[in-house]
Amino acid sequence: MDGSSTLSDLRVIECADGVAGPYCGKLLADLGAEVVKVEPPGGDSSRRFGPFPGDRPHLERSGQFLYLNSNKRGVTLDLEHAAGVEVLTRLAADADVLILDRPRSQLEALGIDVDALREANEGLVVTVLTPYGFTGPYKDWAGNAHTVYQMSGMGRETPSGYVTDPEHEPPLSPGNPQADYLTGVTAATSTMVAITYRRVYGGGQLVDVSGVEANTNHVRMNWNMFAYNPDLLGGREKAAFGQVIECKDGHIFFAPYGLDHWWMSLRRMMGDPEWARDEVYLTGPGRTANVNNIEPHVRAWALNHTRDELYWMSIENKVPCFPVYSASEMRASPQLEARGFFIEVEHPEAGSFVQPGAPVQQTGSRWAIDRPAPRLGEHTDEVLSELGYSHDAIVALFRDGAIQG
Amino acid sequence: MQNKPLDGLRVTDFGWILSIPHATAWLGTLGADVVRVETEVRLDLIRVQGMNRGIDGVLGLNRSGAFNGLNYSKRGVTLNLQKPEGRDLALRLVEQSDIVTENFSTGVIERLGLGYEELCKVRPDLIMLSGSPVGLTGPEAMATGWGPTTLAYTGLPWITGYRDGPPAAYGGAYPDFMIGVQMVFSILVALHERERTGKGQHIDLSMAETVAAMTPEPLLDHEFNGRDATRDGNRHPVFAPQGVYRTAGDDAWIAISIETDEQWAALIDAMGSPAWALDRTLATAGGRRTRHDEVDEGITAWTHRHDTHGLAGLLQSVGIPAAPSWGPRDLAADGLLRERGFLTPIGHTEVGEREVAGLPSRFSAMPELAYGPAPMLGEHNREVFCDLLGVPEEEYERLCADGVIG
Repeated sequence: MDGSSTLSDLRVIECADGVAGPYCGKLLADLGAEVVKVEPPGGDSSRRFGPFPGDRPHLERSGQFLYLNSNKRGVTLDLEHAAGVEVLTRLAADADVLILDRPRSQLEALGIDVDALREANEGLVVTVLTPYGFTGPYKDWAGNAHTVYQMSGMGRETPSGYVTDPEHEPPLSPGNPQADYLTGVTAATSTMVAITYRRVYGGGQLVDVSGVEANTNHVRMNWNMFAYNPDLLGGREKAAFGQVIECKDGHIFFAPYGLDHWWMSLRRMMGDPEWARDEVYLTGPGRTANVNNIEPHVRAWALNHTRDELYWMSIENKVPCFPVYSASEMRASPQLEARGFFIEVEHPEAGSFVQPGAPVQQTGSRWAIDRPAPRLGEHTDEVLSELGYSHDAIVALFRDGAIQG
Repeated sequence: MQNKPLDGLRVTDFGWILSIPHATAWLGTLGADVVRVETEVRLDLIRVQGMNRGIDGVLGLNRSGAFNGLNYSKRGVTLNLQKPEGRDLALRLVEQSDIVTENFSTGVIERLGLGYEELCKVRPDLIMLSGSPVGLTGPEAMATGWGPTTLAYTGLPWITGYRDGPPAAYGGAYPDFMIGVQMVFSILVALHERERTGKGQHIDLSMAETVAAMTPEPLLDHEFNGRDATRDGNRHPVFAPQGVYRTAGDDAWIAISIETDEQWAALIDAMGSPAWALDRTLATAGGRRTRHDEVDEGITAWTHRHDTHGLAGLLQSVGIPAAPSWGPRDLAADGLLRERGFLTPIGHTEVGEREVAGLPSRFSAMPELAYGPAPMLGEHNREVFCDLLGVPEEEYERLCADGVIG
């Protein structure tokens, strides 16, 4: 890809399905890494998840797939077929990074030997993303974003501070595969750790990214409190120090109780009502102990204001408050518009559409979508030719069903 | 001694609270000399606020489990940046640093005279990372908040929650620590660029944008179909049934996700083929989704009699994605995270060694990640100001007395 991009010296083979591995590949690809995506003959599962234009399922029009796989070239290999595995082996021999997402037992059943791949290419970084770890007691368990999020302890924290009837309100998972995206970010970061290591000391390595660990990393406060004061861990009903609360025309996330100056600002915003002048509320511990007395007043006050009024009042008074946006409301945010966050992408099958842009603005590193997501098998021929397969050999592989395009 | 990829690099860390402290704990563990700059004038909330429950029944600034379990592998100094001499010392530290991190409220670092352009004068190839709720530019740049508040902006809470319930707040301070991990990615990318071109850069990380980039589905649904997706508990657009089901015991639950019709058939077998489940209209995901409430009731009638872990093992043995819905007590009791090295003992000067949460990935070239202790408040003042910056002894004493250091 573009030689002026930060990661354009990296060649990545992404043999991973769904969200976690592909998001890892996307973070690298959008900064210039050359990523070849290996798909099975039926295509990546995210081709079947949508959202689809007009709700009509179509392998080339799934929003999730198109978003995750732009900037990548696509080859279709049947890894159940020895010749398919041979192509993957040759791809890995010439790569800097290989992204995998199967347990060792499944890789070995296919004839993919991670250790042999590393011996054949000593600079290779192999990043393996699995639900519960490449090693350990659950290494062969099946999993997805839902089971990973729940096992990690995050389910117990969601929703936070809302559970009024723990018997009938189960731990919740996010409304999208957030747990997998998070594993993808952790894998991309860890891959860059290994690339940095290689730059300094030479040699690749195996990077083992567990979905449960990537997610449980976010309840680290619980871990740390547990380590120091196990008796302090509460149940799911605990009151949070920030809450989603209703206002005149929607919801805000409001967290004005933590610091003394936030509290004084809130009093000012509310017109310093009599009830709020109670001295016991002047300190953090006082507010924490009395949150059930404070909250109903604040909720009643918020109901008289619009979301925008509360947001701007809070910006002016330096109090943490954000509007709870739906997708369309976020799309209309003047802030995201001013920063040029959304970008338009053109795809030959799905037309043009707006999608999220760079996750981080890095002034010194080019971030761009230079090509749309590949159609199934679009670059099989091209990539195999580059690998040195002759025209006849490629035709034979097609005939055997080891590759598709 | 094990090689560490960031050996020889120095980080001046002006960050605080959650996201940057996690990011710089990665950098320090990976070999960088991280000097965390705190001030007694405005203490890190995590040292003092509700999360500081003390240790062994004793409260103290160096006894916050939350702080110590987050800020490992760093040195710590105290410096009042509002005093001109404090700023000068900070500049001298930055001059010897490769990376600077900060997440003050937008505009504060410039007012302190320590903005990116100023710092580049002493360190032209500097990599600087600024973290903020919605970015350093734009009409709302002055908005105040940390991860969980900013999350509301991204459309993620909107699609998360019980059916007919309000949008859900996330726990675990989500997304603060993910933001920390993303920060490490951006810094390592910037180092890669510096290696290539010799140039540093300023990284402007908006937490809202980082999470929005991980939440494309509702936005694309709106793009394609002009609607806003709503909340539907634990249900999935394609897999059915999917849920978190009650098991035997106090507040005990299991997560089950049926991805294929074959897995549904295996679940029927595992449940002992109850009559309700044999209904042919439930043989397809579409059919199960239409009658999801009924299916959930049937599954719960079975799961609630069983122990969580045994049930997860049984379902896994027939190829069904299932896992216990665990809290920290369950995870600690299970041993998975200890065996994998995520939970790890890390020392501390005042409170000694404690088992806390390490980094979430395993590296074959660094099988034992070498964690250093979290700093006590101002623990390395003399070491950094006298030994590293060469401040003479009497001068150091005076700066302490004048409240510049402290």
